[in-house]
Formats: sequence, C-alpha cells, structure tokens
Amino acid sequence: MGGQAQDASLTAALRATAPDLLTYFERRTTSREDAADLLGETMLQAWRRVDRLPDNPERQRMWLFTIAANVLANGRRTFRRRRALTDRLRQTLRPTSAPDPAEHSEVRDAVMHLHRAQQELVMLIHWDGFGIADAAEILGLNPSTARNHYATARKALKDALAEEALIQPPSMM
Amino acid sequence: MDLDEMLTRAAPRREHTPETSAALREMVDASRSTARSRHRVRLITAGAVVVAALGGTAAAAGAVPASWIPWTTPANHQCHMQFTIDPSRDGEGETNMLPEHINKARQTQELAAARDFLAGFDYASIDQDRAIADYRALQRRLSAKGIHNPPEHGDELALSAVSRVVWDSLNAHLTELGYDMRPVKGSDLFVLVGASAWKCD
Repeated sequence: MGGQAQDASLTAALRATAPDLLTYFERRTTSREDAADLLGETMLQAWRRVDRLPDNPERQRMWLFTIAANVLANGRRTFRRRRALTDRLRQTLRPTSAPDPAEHSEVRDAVMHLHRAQQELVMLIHWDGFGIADAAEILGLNPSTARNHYATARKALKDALAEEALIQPPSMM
Repeated sequence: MDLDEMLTRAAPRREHTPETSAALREMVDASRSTARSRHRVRLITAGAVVVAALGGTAAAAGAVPASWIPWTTPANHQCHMQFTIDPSRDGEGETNMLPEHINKARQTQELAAARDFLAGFDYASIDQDRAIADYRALQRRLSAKGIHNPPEHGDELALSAVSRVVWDSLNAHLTELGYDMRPVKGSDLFVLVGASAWKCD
C-alpha cells in the first residue's frame, strides 16, 4: 500500500473505530476527559506507525485496539499536541446521568476485584465484544495463557457473585 | 441469568451524542497533521540551528546562547541543549486547549513553576549511561508490546535519553506540586556541532 493509500486507509479505520475506542477508554478511566486524551494519544501513535497498518479492516481494528491497550498500559502522558487534538472532544463528554441497576454495579465490582490481566480479558470479551484469541492478541498474551486467565477469572466471578446471591452457586455433587 | 449474560449486561453504558460523534470525526481528520507536525528538533547542523534560533549575524559567528546547556555525548561530540516552556495554546487549529478549571492565573503559576524547575535543574547530575540504558529498556518494552518507534542510534539516542530524563523529572515535579501540566508545552532543541544532518520527529 502506498503512502496516500495508507493515509486514506488509516483515516477510514480511525473513523470506523474511534467511537469504540473512546468507549474502551471510558470504561477504563475514571474521567471521561482522560478517555479523550488517551484516544488522542492512540491516534497519534497510529499515525506514527501508519506504515505498519494492516490491509484487512478487521486486522486494522485489532491493530488500533492493540495500540490503545499499550497506550493505556503505559499511561503515556506526552504533554504536547494531544491536548489540542482532544480539546473539542473533551468538551462534548459529560457524565452519564442515568444510574445503572444495582446488580450491574455488583458485577462490575466483582470484575474490578480480579487480577489485572484477568480483568482486562473479561472486559475485552464481555464489554468490548472480542473473542478470547483477539483479546489475547491485544494484551500480548499467549492464547493458552489467556484461556487459563479467563477460566480462572470466570471461577472467581462465579464465586464472588454467588456470595452476592446474584447467581446460583455451583451445585455440590 | 447466567454469568455470560450478567457480565455483558453489566458493561458500563457510554452513549455518545451527535456532538461527540462530530468531534470524533474532526479529531480523526486533525490527527494526521497533528502527528506529523514538526514540534521537536533533535539534531541540527550547527549552521541550520543558528539560522533557526539566532538569525543571520549570530549564524555567521556560529554562536550559541549562553543559556543553552552544554552537553557531551558518549561519542564525545559537543552539543548544546535548550529546554523551553510555553503556554499550551498554539492549538494547531484549536482555539482553547485549556481545561475549563484552569484559568489564566493557574496557567501562569504552572508555567512559572515549570520554568523555575528547568532553570534550577542540575543537568550535570544526569547519568547519561544510565539514561541511555533506561531509554533502551523502555524501547524494548514497547517493542515487545508491538510498538516500534523509529530506531535511534549514537548521538540521537543519547540526546533523546537525556531529554526524557529532563521531561520526566519536570513531570514528576509538577505532579508533586499538584499541577497536571495541561497548560504547559515543553520543547527541546539540540545543537550538535558538526552533525551532518538534521531531523525532526
């Protein structure tokens, strides 16, 4: 893919993926403004690596989420440029007003008490809609390691939510 | 309700308004030019930087301002570094970069704190070898995660590593003071005497 074609392809990929990337960051930060900043950093990182943009749109989406995961993990805080880029977006983001049902809070609390790698896997799979193989790739995990983490996470969640009586505890044989 | 359904339903809802969608589209369009804008000059020929920084007369003399910090790279090349702080408002098309809670007085305080820090910073205390090792380790960690920054070698690597120490130190200092650095824009400039090329990131 040539330079102009790459630029057009990344622009299209960012347009298609930006809302989901924003949601991804919003679910992982306490401040929606921080989510906007992290998205801005992700876009800048993507442009710096445009020569590595995959051709396939699905792979492009994965590629962007992988960059996003690394931006989040590294907490990169370059204090130039990104603020200008994200200012307008930050101004449009306001706290959500409708409270969620209490049971959702309890489930989220249980997720947040998982170990970090398990927590990210669960969120990528159940909140962001990725399969376990794609989630493993985004997190840079070996697929079998990811499966183990995920199985452990599910057991921990079942135990935690059974304590809260949200789901039936496993039957004793 | 089974666990899968419960987890899926518990996903925090984040609804985006039409205004947000429009801002996202603008952001995508602006991100390309922002990412490629030349903000940071790293290595410059002595002649080129003097023209850029000092103007013709000084260029002819090959002078470098006394306020610049002299530095010697591991290759024993003589260099001058300049770290500057400006208000974050040049914006690249945006008119207001500052968060709503940061007013002009607050920005002035933060700029002064940043400039004072850089003015009093003990550049000689930077362990260049350690800085380079840390910088390489950072790049390896990023590379292992699929983030491959353009390779840097020799003087460019050394100056990037030293620069990172300075900015990280400033970041830590401002954070300790309770500032969030949003109103602050940092730039660095290096004059490498005898360099054969200049480049920007």
